[in-house]
Amino acid sequence: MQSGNRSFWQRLGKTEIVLSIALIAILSFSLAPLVAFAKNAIVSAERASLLASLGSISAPVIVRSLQFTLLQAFASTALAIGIGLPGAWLAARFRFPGRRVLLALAAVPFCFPPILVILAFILYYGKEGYFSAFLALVMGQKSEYRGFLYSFWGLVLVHAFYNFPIAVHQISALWMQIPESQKEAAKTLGANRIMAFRTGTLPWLLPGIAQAAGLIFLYCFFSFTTVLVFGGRVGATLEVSIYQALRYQGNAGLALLFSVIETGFALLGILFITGMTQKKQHALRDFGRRRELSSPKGSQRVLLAIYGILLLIFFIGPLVSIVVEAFRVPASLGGVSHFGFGNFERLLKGFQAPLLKAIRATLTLSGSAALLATIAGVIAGISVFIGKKAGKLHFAYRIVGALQWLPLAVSPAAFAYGWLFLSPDRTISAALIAAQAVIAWPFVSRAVSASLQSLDPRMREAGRTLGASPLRAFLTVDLRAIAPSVAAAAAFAFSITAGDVNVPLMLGMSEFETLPLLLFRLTAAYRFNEACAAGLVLGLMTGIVFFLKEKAIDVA
Amino acid sequence: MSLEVRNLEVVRDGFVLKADFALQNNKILVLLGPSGCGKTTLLRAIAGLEPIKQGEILLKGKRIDALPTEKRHIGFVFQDLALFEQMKVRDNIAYSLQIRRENKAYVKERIDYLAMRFRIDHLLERYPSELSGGERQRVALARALASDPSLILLDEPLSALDAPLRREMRRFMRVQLTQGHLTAIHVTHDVEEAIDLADEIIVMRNGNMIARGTISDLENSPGSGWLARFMNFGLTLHVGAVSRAVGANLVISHCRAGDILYSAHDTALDAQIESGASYCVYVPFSSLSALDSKKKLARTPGGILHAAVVRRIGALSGTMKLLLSLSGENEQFFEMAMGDGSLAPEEGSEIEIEVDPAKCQLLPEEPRLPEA
Repeated sequence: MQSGNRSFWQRLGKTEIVLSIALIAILSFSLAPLVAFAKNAIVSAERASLLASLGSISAPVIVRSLQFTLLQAFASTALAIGIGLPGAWLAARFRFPGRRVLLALAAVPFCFPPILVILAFILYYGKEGYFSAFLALVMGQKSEYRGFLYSFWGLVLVHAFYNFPIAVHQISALWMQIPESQKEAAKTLGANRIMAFRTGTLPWLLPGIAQAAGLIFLYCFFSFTTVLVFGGRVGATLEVSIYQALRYQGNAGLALLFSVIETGFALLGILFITGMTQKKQHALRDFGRRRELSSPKGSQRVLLAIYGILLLIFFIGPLVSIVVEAFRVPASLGGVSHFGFGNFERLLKGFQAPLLKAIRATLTLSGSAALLATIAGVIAGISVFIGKKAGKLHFAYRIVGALQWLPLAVSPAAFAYGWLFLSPDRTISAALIAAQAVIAWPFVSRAVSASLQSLDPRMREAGRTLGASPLRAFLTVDLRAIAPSVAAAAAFAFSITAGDVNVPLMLGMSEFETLPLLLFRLTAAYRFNEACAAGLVLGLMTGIVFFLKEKAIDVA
Repeated sequence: MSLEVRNLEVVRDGFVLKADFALQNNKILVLLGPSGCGKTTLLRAIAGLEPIKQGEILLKGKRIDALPTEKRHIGFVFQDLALFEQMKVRDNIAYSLQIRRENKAYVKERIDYLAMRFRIDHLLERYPSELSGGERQRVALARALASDPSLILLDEPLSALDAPLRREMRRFMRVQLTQGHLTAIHVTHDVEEAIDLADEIIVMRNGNMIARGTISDLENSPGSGWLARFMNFGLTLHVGAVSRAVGANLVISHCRAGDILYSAHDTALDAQIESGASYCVYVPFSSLSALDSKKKLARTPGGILHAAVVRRIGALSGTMKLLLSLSGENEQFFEMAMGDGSLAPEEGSEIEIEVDPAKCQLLPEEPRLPEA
């Protein structure tokens, strides 16, 4: 036994011991809030009788919520893929002005928080929105489509438009890698265009489409803010049900039950995504250089123009309306609306002047969360990489690898409330920072370990042959090479924490008001123009990191 | 004629390819040239995978240039083979037959015949990812031939193989193409491969066909120093100046490696030489012989080259090959058989090589382009 212990420790290097300690800390950091959340739910339920607490809600409510969650997620995913596929084809095949912009739109779901996009859709497709006004002008009847945005299909449309750029980015990246020779081989063997596509392209493309669909499905499955705003009349997702159970019913047991169901389905989704990713990578293994883009001709140009126009009308239009409305000062009594900085002035100088405080709160809280997430993510990412490479402490590294999927598998409410229960005196700001950091670190970690794995090991070996020790070679070659990815991942971590409205809403923050919370409050109070002004500031804050760090899109 | 390509022009991203040739039935034509010369583009244009700007393509007397790829009935073996990885070998081979709705009995019979002919009958139930490089080549060839196409195009299908397997496969391919009485165009940048496979060779450069013929045609008249070097037919010596032997149709080229005297076959060259174009003396390897001390006394007036012995390469049979470097000419290395190894000079020494003037030619450095 003793000799076994000795050989175990002998096998470990100093670096691995340090990293293992860090890993244990990260593990505790991520899992402790979940344990606290579950424990509190069970203990508080004991006080109020767990069964009675659960029994107060009938099974059909749970089934209805699950049904609605799945249905809207499936419909949204199908529509997002439907809108994204033509874009992916165009971006993978042709060289055209705006191609890079089309691909960069993939950043929108990540750098523009849902609340901002919701606001954009209200302004554009809402009852008094620009698009609705245009339709009224053309069709003359308003009543038929006025309530559309607040229906099931309205919710699906918002989800689809919010997420289709992910499909464009992911699928086009794969499509570009698929060599033409398979399709051409089918043609030389007598296949027509459709048959050639089915034989030579589709089998390679399908795993990529399925992977993108899986990701979009999960994002829609966990949808919270959008459903809270648009789905109120037609149903509640599991995430909204958790919020309602915690905030309005004080039923932690029920929230736990919803969370467990949610996580169960999310795990199935993750299993599907990882399976598809492996299939995709297996297919990509044999592919050579990327295919060259060509200039569109004839009917291809027409298709491109139609897609571009539709995109401008239906997707860019809502985003532009935020900018327009931010500067359109609504008419006061007896006056007319005009353009200026009035909305910003009101937020800066008016009652309670909330904008500066919100910016400060966002920078402080989200900045701290992003910093924490980056530190934890970099350590975890390096550990996963070293663990994979060395094959040592295999089990621990695998757990950390699996934990990287946490934000896609567990309700943010569980993290938020878990950390709230763990915080001394239940300090909300500390819980917010910790919960957001737990949600964000896996993104950093995945980016770091993926960057390290994509590095050519010969670079490090070259460092070694030039006299560097293994540690020095790792620090001077590998870490320096992945620095841009770390910076991008940190920027992304800031972007998602700064734009996050789920955790602050769940925690019901009263001591601080972050920018997304301010935006939510202004939107709920129908102060749309001021909301747009605040939204523009938030959009600039979260969006600028993507402009500074293009790599952040890949991290996302 | 099986295939006629008339006045063909393909323009792609500023690159212009021009071709005009015909190919007889049951012959193997090799398109040879350096990377980027347009040989693959020409092959793809014939198959309908590359749009053409002008010209005609006729297969068995019928115009096919307006037909889509799938209607041309031309077999194509791709550089990366493009086997359908999701299908078993059997389904890969059956693909073109099933598309043509051939009856099941015929499909099975054809697969069995091809599998036996290409020695892949034990692989029919496997997926392409489970095959070795050579097996994949044979499957790709069998698939391309399954529907009995009128012409088969091979786009460097051997380039990914290692040297011994490549040699084995090209000989296997030559046998299969000849025995099957097939008309084929094979694309390669490997001269050795072209020599092994071709009935006829077309050499391409910068989108143009610069030479055409059998290997001996090309060796006898390479037409340019570039081609002689590319094909490794002989030495090409830079000409510093040219003078005439008094009263004879003989030209003396003053090269850095020595003066070469030879008979001028093409007197029209004189005018061109005076125009300032760059020329070289083509000295085929077959015109070279090493001098021994006795021969030195009876040297012929053709010329003597001085070369340094870089390496002695001995063979088990006792014969010897020398790797030589030409004095005064930059980076010109060549090999020369010495017969009995015991007489071969030491490494580092210098030897004299006699040149047969009847075989030498004065050639322009750059190939002449065909008339527009």
